[in-house]
Amino acid sequence: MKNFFYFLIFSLIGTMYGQKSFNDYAKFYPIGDDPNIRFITSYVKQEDILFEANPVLKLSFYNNFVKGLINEDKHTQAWYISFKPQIRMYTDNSLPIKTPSYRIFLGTQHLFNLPTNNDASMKFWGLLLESGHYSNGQSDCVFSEDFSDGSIDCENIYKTINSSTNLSEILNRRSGNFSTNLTKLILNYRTYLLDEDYFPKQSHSVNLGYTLYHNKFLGIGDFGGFTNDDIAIYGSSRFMVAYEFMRVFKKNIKKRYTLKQKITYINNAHSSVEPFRLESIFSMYPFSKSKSLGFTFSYIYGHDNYNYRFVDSGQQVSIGITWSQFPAITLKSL
Amino acid sequence: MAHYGNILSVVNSRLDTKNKVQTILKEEKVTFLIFNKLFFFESTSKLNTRNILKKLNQLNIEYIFYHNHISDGSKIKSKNVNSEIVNQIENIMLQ
Repeated sequence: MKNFFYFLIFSLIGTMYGQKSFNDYAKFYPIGDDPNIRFITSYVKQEDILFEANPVLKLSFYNNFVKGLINEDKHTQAWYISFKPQIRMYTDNSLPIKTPSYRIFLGTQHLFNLPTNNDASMKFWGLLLESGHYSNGQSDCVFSEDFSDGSIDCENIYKTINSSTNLSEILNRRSGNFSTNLTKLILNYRTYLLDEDYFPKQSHSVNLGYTLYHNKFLGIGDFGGFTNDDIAIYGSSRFMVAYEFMRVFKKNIKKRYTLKQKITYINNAHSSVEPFRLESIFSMYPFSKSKSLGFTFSYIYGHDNYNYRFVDSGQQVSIGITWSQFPAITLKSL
Repeated sequence: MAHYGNILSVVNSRLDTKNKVQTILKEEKVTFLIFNKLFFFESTSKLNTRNILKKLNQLNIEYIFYHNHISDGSKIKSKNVNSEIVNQIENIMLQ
């Protein structure tokens, strides 16, 4: 065991010394949400959230963002598999994690370098396309803990739901099933002001997004989809618009903050669902040695984003730590 | 303020090339030293270095240029020099 430990240490050191440059190993993703772990308040009185974790694992087949951006390539891109769980621990007896979300996608991101008339700025437009599966791993009826999902008793409960039913009040919060396949498209436009070493000192970024819930996995696999009753409640389309501002506030050591406003709208969901979700996020990245690590604070108004709990609505505040998937890096070479 | 070390080697130059390069380095306000056909200079930013390279390129001379912090992982830039020689130099500098 001890020898194996030494082997691992020497392998790690060998790998670190063997790498030709940082660019060969850094995998950045300019578009999409950043991972975080945060304390967050609850929407409803029935349950209190202890904390929420939003990790993101992306495994690239190809990713040339760092090297391509530095080389001022016209087109940079990444192709990857993305795994994005969402986990909430509640303050109930024994602190359970209830109905965790699992999202797995095949994805690609692209940035296109737009011409500018000076050396001190850069502009890009980009797009993200991800398609995959989103579920919470539960097998019981959404609106009753006593019946299995798909049973006749469960279907009878769906038949009692009408436009005046408050779904938040009858939701099975412990074991209710949520499942869909989905495809997400985000269009992005961003501008950077650069300092004399081509490090971004300020940026603006705008996202327009559309998410479609569909029944077949990647449009072909006949699994992981939804029932007709469920999609009538979920609503099949989600629209998103977001704006992010970044500014370096300590020039020499490149500490920065970001302000982000994100608005999501669910189209054609059940009438008890609040269609809007507004999220205001302030993040600060104070570590010069670890530029992607930061603190994040947010205020949320509107529907919840935790699988079937989108039927809940109200206000939340959160505080936590985050890791930027696209920390400010030098964007030009010589 | 950042400080970058640079070595410029001018190849097959005409008589007035040395003066022209010297003028560029003065215009860009960098500390420099000339030793035979080698120019050693300390630039103060990437932009400063890039401006010098732009002006050198306008002279249409042959050169090999070493900069101690090229962000794309390479060590040298060159102009009008045989690419095989440049590749060999790049390999030597990266060892």
